[in-house]
Amino acid sequence: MGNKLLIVLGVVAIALLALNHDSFTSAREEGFFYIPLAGTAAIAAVASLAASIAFLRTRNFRFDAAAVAATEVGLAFLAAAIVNGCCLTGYASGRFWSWDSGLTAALVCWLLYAAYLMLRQAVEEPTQRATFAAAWSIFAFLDMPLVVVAMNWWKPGVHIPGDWTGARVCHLVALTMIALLMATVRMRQEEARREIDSLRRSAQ
Amino acid sequence: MSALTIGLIAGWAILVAYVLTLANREKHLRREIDRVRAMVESDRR
Repeated sequence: MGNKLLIVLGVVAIALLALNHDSFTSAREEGFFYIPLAGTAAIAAVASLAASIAFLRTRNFRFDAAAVAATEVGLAFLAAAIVNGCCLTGYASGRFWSWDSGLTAALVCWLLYAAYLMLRQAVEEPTQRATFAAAWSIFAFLDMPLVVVAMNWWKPGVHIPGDWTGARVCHLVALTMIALLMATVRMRQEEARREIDSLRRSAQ
Repeated sequence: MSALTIGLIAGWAILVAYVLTLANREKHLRREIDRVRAMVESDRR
């Protein structure tokens, strides 16, 4: 993705956030910030799954870089969603953590994707690392429907699952653009790291 | 400040922290690329 396109993406995202500032910071929306954050994390998880499957089919390392970028960015968004969810729990019940289905399922999902990044650190051989990571990413994605079910169907005590209002959809679009921006930068870094590795190997 | 406002600020703070991590990593990578390129060129000579 070209630098100009990235700048346009960033500007549009910021403009969306600025234009809807009043609705985002209203007392009602502040508590439901976790919804667009979790939505963005879910989109990143789908992107990671698609990139992992594409890597296993083609063995093209660009897909591996896309998978790691999507996973890492999704992890940051999911962490933000969990912290926001904790604050909503604290506001509703006075306790910042409760083992309700939504928060617990989100935490398990976060741990699964964190394990993906740890797995990448543990394997040195690039092809083996990318293959194991892609397989793990597909496995970790199996938890995603569980998180969606936990948040929407089981209706835990203090969490009131919110619906997709206009402000939240707008917020999701802006956050997804920001996530895409971050993932593109991260993907370039992963490719640069691979270039460094190949330069090192050629020097040895 | 209510817990909801703290939640909103904390959510954004995590995203900003991640962007700072990305920027820091970018700086390290550029330095590393320059170092490895210099190493390869000195080997060629």
